[in-house]
Amino acid sequence: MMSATLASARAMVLLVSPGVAGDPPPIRFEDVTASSGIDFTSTSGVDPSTQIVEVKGGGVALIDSDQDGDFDLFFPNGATLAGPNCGPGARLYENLGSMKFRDATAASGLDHHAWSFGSAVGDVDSDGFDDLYVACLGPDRFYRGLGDGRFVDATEQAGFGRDRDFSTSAALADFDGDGDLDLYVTNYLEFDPLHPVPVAHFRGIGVIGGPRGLVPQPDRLHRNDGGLFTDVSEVSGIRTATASFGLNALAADFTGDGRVDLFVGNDSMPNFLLENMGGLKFREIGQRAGCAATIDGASQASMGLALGDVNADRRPDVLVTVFSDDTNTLFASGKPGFFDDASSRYGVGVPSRSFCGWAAAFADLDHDADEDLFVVNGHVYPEATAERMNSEYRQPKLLMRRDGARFVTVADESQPWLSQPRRDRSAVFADLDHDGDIDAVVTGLNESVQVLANRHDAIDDWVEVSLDDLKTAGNRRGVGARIELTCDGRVQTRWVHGGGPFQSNQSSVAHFGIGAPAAEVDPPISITVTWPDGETTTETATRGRAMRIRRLPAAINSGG
Amino acid sequence: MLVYRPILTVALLALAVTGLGCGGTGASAPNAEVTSAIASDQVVTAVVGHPNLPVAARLLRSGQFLDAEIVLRAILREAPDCARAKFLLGVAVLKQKRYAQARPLLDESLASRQEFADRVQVDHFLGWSCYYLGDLDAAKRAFQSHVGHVPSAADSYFGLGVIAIDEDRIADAQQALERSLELLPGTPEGARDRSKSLARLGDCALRLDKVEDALALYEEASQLWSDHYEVWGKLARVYELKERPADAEAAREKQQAALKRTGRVPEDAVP
Repeated sequence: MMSATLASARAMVLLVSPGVAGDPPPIRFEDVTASSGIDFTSTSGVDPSTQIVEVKGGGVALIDSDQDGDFDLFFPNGATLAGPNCGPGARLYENLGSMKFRDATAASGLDHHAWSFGSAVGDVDSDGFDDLYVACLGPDRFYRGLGDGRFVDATEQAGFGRDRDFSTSAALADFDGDGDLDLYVTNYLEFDPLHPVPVAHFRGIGVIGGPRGLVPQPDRLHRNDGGLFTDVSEVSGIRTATASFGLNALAADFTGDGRVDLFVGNDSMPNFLLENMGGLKFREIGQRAGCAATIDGASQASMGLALGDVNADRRPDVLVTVFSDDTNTLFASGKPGFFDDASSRYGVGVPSRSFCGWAAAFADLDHDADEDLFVVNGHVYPEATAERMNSEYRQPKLLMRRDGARFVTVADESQPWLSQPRRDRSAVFADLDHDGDIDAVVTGLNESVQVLANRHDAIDDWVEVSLDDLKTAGNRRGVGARIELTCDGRVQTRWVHGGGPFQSNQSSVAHFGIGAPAAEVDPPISITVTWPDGETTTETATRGRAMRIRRLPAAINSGG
Repeated sequence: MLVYRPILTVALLALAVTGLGCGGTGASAPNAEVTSAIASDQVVTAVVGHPNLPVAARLLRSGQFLDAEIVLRAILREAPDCARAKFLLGVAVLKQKRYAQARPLLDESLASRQEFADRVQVDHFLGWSCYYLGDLDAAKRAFQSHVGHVPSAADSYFGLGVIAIDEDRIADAQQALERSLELLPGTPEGARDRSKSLARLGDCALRLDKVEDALALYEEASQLWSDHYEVWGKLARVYELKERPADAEAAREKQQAALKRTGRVPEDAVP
């Protein structure tokens, strides 16, 4: 039953009234979990949780494991303190189309039972197939994709497996501009399963201890040389940043200099903005840039990260989801090289106050040519109630529709999935059934996976763009590229970036809603890709079509 | 028997509530406001009264919110219809940041229709409870009701200003914050609250890209109340925008020092 707090919060939100002339189309998802073929409940220690390692939950990753052109789903899985390396195991689900999936774990070779959190997907060895990096409690694992749904454990061969970190998320991107994907791994804190953390107190209640008072672990950066990785954490300069409780990272060009930087979300400590100085050297500029903390200079418990272009200036903005009794923060790009805390301006802060937010994404869910916001929530303390902490343990999702200059919370009683309280943690957002809209897959803490199919009705009010960069064979999907759609004088911008919503990854397919044609003569739609090396390609798009833009080594289609 | 407060007391009450949990300015020293809000006269009268109400009020005044809560819960067990006890309990739990508990208590104390001495202040606390629960519409209604009854309620104007910022109604925010400044005394006692309003006016200026104005407002706010750690954070931000890194670093150091001085510790659990 929904608490009074949440009920009152929902009472003030927008009620969707579908079908009203002039209104934007409603955002409508259907929970298709039961028919999806995915029947998977993640494991994360005991339930209810007793230790900080148990509250992050497992992640989810989009991966085309069998080269059939759609996204399959990989779920890292947790374990228990009694057997942190002997969990029930990760799962791989093959996408069969039409929101149907099949458990393909057994034949995949992914015999992975270590306590795991996030993962990163990319073709790191330039063989054309997706590979998989899994962030674990203890040594991370790397699985080389064979392109036919099978993987081989290549952890040691790729130069991994020596760490003993509590790794949470990972982001692949070409940080040194050499054409292959390097790897950034966020690490959380020192945790020894044999020596659990004592109970702490929060507002007079005994709760799970940490992260404060525990020892943060510094993150890691690995340089890729043809599929062999070298830990360059020290020499790269990322360690000049204070070791923090890292939970998430996004890799994109945040400073506008053409190089891929890193936005790192830290728990209870300032966020990092690691500026790429070239030559695989970084410097931490989060404080200076204004994205380390809120407008009040307050550090937050940053968890989820969403990248979008909220202020339509063609530069990336970042939404950070945070703990309850605090508000999600939107760091909008302002003066070049600087971010503004624009949470109030766009209305994304206050509605999140009673939630403990995790994965988040900007996506045009109703195809009205602007990006909406989807956030999954759930508290970390099993003791949480509205009466004790103004926040329930199980929480509904926060769905916000872009309505002019601001975001407005969507409530729709005809969509039970929206108000269903859960302990959500991670999510991926992608067009899983090739019908032109963005679907969602959500994981929770000791919860069943939830599969949400976007039921947007229109068939020609979207464009999808994927990249195939043959000029740099090690980054064919163009991580670091900017994709701009221009239609009727309006420009929408997307980025193919590393990292993801939370312990998950971003779809490499850029999705644009473009609305119904406003005139009898449909305005032309052009797509301009700014590749990671700065070269541009411009092509014409067609409504209701997915297109692939390929760059050849000779750059025969450069222009724009 | 009803005891009506003199006008002066009402004015004190209006001032008293200033800063109670408002606007994220956690550096507030709440005891002082509660002291005034509850007033120092020992006679606490309500249609449904209880002899221990003064004890609870005294505990609130001294910042012993949990103890006050215990006493007030005991009072309500014996006198479950005592509206003033509900009000004071609402304040006690609000001060412990349990807004979801505070709100229904304050609602009930208002709904009781009982006349008690500081009934007129309930809306103020209700406003902040609603604000911190994310219900801006209800918070706005409560603050507007409060300033309707207590036109000198500077902190409710401040609350209206904060809400207007959250709703991106910058002109309204400036108007409300300016009003709160007009109502605040220019004495050392009013410095803290003036600092808070000035800081929010600085936020408005920044929102309007008036960086110089924001800088001046933040600097004035920091001079008025050096423990205002949030304003040091805001100042650091503006100094960065002005490409004055040394000043930004100094402001951040002052922010840390203010945090230390005010005993602010991170809220999440420390084993």
